Amino acid sequence: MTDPLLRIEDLHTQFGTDSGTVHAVDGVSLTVERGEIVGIVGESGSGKSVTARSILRVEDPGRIAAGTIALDGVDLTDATDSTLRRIRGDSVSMVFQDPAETLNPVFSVGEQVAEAVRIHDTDGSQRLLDYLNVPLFRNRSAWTDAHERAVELMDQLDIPNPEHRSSGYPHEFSGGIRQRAVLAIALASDPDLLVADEPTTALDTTTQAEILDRLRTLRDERELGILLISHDIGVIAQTCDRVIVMYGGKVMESGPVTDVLTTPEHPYTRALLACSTRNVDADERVTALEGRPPDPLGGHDGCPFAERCDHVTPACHNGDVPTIECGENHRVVCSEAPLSDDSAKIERKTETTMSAAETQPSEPHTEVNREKVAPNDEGTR
Amino acid sequence: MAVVLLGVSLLTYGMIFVTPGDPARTILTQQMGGQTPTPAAVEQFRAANGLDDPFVVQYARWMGGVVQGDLGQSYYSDQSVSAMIVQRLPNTIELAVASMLVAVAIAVPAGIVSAVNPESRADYAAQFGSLVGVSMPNFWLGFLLIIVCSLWLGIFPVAGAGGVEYLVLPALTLGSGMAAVITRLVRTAMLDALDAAYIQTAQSKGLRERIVVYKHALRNALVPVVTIIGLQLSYVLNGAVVVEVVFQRPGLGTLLVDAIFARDYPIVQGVTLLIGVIFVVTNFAVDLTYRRLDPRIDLKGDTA
Repeated sequence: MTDPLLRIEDLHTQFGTDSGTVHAVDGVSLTVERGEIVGIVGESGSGKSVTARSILRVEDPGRIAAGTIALDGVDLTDATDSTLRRIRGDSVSMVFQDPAETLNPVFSVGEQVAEAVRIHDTDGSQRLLDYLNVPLFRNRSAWTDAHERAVELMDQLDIPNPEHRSSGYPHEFSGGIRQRAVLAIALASDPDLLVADEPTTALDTTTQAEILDRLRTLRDERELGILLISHDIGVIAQTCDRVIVMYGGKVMESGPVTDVLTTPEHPYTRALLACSTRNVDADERVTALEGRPPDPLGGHDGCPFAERCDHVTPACHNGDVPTIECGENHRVVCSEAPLSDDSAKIERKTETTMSAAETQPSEPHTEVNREKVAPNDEGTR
Repeated sequence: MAVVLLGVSLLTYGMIFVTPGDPARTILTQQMGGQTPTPAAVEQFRAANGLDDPFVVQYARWMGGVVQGDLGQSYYSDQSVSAMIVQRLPNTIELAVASMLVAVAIAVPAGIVSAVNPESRADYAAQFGSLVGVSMPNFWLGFLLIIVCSLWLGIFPVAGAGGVEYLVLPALTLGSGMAAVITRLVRTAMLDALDAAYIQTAQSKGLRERIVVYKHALRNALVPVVTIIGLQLSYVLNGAVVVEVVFQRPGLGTLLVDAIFARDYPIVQGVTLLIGVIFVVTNFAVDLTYRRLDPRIDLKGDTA
């Protein structure tokens, strides 16, 4: 079987601060196949954005402490600057959250798209004076071609009146058009993988739907692998094939979107779904999750969600948490999984607090499935 | 802009008007070789030069001339004020431009290096250098340079004006102080720009770091830098007064200082007005430059 497009194994990305090391990403493993949209969902500080940045190697001021990020079999964690530049210009692109911030305000949008086109076309050798548009040093015909291609790309992304718009500046555009322009930049390099970090969070719902729809079309047209990061379960449900739930820098649960969202097996996923307004009737109060996200300083022992979990057992606070396979490609990192249905939840909680981890209602069933899956054995190898 | 200029002229004229010291008395004393002039002579001088008229009349008369390019007549010399200014102006402009160039040539690279490698040795060196530059008084640095470069090493002439060799030391003196201010500004502006999200976009496009820094970051950082360079013009003109005296360069600065001591009001007024005009015009030019650097700045509705 061939390698997946992107395979991240046991990634640790850390930030050195005055008060200690922040373990922003703490052992994340995931894969993205060609033509697949994989979502990462989690609350602020769960490490999803840092994971995304690590793939493009723009994690600075963070530092990748351990793990591998293999794109088409090439490890990016120890790649040289020039290799990275080539990969960024050819194989992987990124779309960031706020299109008001991610476009350079002082260059025309067409120029910024054209720049990406030229980076893709010229392998590695970028001359400063050429890119500064210094007359005589500027390769005029190449830039003209690049600008034409930029207009084409903007047209493909349904930016109205692209010839005229390409000479406009970001501040003259609406949020939706800006994000399309950002997508045009990302697609200029004809990438295999697109990493989209909250691409629709800053947009209104109508524009959001259009952009998500556009992502799906791109996936179909270009066999593009997409890693979509969002805190919005609705966005993930609408768009993704598979979903990865992150919390405290770790993967909590992963699997096909339908499985994870209809039969969530991790207490955190359940809590997250319970918080989503879409799953609550109009007159019902939205449940908020008690407590705060874990302090990422110094890393954790045991399950990061233990402090806030309804199903917590003493075993959760220490040691490795087992990964449990509870469906095809559906994995849960929880010693209590698979959880029994909700009616049994409260009952079991009292039981576990009384007699530690001893008796569990679904014990015989779990025994069969509870094989610890090491990250390396994951999926498609 | 016209309103601002009118205000400038009114202020410069008015300030001189309320300054203590009677030009008639001072000038006559000197003309008579130190003897106290008779009251009658003073009266006569005042009447001849229109010094008895009310402020408004004097101002109107002066402005009438100014509009026609006539700044009046010096009390001492036979030359008109305009002629004296035209004679001296090239020297001052030369000095101002040269010291600006020195300042920018030092400050922009130093600021960029500082910002790209924060907390490196180069950064600390640049920051220490700019602290020294800001703290050192112009006249002192001027004398220091004269002692070292002219008297000890004998590379450059001590004073005067003429070719490029006369320009080097004054320009260094004046430029280094400005360079210090601009270095710090370039550093902060570049740090801000490098921190922006669009830099990550540029990096993730696969752009070389050099191009990211010199194209995407520098262009954004230049907006505040250009403002300050424009405002620093006032610093250059102030500094030129001191530096010209130190290096005995015949420029606007020496002209102004001499005129003030001699109570030669037409010259003081003329030079001050000119400096004011230069200042306003430069600021206007800075506003225009903004538009080139940052398309978000819209000049419509801006009436200065």
